Amino acid sequence: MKQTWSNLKDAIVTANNSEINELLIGLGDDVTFNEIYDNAIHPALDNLCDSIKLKKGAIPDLLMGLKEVRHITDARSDKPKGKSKKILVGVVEGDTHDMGKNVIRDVCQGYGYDVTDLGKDVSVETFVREAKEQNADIACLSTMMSTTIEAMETTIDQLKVHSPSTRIVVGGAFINKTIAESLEADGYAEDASMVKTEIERILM
Amino acid sequence: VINQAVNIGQIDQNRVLMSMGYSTSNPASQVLCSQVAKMLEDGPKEVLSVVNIVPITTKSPDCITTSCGTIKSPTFNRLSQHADNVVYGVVTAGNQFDEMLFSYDDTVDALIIDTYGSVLVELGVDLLLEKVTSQTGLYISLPFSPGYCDYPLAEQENIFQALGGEPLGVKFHERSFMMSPIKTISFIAALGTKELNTNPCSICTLEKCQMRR
Repeated sequence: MKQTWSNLKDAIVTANNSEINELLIGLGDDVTFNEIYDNAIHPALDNLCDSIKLKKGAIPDLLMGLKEVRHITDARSDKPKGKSKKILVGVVEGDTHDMGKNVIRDVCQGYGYDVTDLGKDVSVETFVREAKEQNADIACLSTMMSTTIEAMETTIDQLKVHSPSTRIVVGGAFINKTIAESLEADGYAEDASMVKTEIERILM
Repeated sequence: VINQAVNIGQIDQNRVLMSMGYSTSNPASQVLCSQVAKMLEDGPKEVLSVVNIVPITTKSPDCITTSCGTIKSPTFNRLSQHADNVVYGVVTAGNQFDEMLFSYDDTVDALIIDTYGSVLVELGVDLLLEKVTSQTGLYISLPFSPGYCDYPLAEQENIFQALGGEPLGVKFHERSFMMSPIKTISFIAALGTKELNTNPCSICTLEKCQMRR
């Protein structure tokens, strides 16, 4: 069995769809989705993220792996229990660059979080309303531009006032650790490979 | 003000892959290479461009002035030390490219087309500047966009004014200065009879800037 898990993990890492299908057929209904997640999906995604951090891979590899994770989820009749943690993702008001946000959304979903994508050019009011209504554990705020930093600052301020239990992670081309700290965000994800580690650190 | 389409021709697959984070020591998988190759084959090969070459009227240590406004960037000033003109320009892949960009549900495809669009307009600017030098016989600097080094993003407005307000139908957000269509580059460049220090990054102090050239 150990070899099968290892093979499935490797097939996700290399986005080998046909190998995944064969292995899933072999596993049949003898295993639960959560076993697949714990033994193959989670280690595969960790492997892909680590490769990016070590510059032995890049974001498209992670995205292709995530596509296979969705394929596995869809192929299973037993659905994942998922993590109970709720995550909001969105691009702050004034910015419509949503590529980074979409990648973060996919990574969080791949790791089994309950993710709500608020889209791009999201108003402060929408972030606050959704955080309160959904009792969100994390809000991931993204912006690519320096000029929308004010919108990010206002969104963080208002989230802290109206939804104080929601922790905030920021990211985007313009953001760095110093800016994230000056914005009083709880966390900073330099890229998609860092977001899971950062969420786990904050929620510990 | 000159409007023209720029034919990009064949795009180097490696340039797109490099923009995605790959290199010779960190090569992309065969599957991804095939997807990128298909995108390069099917994607648009032309961008729209507009330029205006405007004489420099005054130079001071902090800024230079043309009839189109004042450029408040000490770095661009140093770059323009021996220049006589400023080239104002916009290159865009157009609204159709945005529509294509937003039509992809698959994140991998969307990332490829997004990167492809960026490379397309970057090459468009390179080719346009080559045309300017060959047509004028003058020396030109590398392009310099609002937000680079110490060139304020708010000066986006001056570039647009120099090109007639809404060049090629490109608009910018009044607060964020973000342009629409998304795959658009606005820039200035120094142009003169003497050879210029063509690379603004060589005199910029932002050593960790991701756009450093």
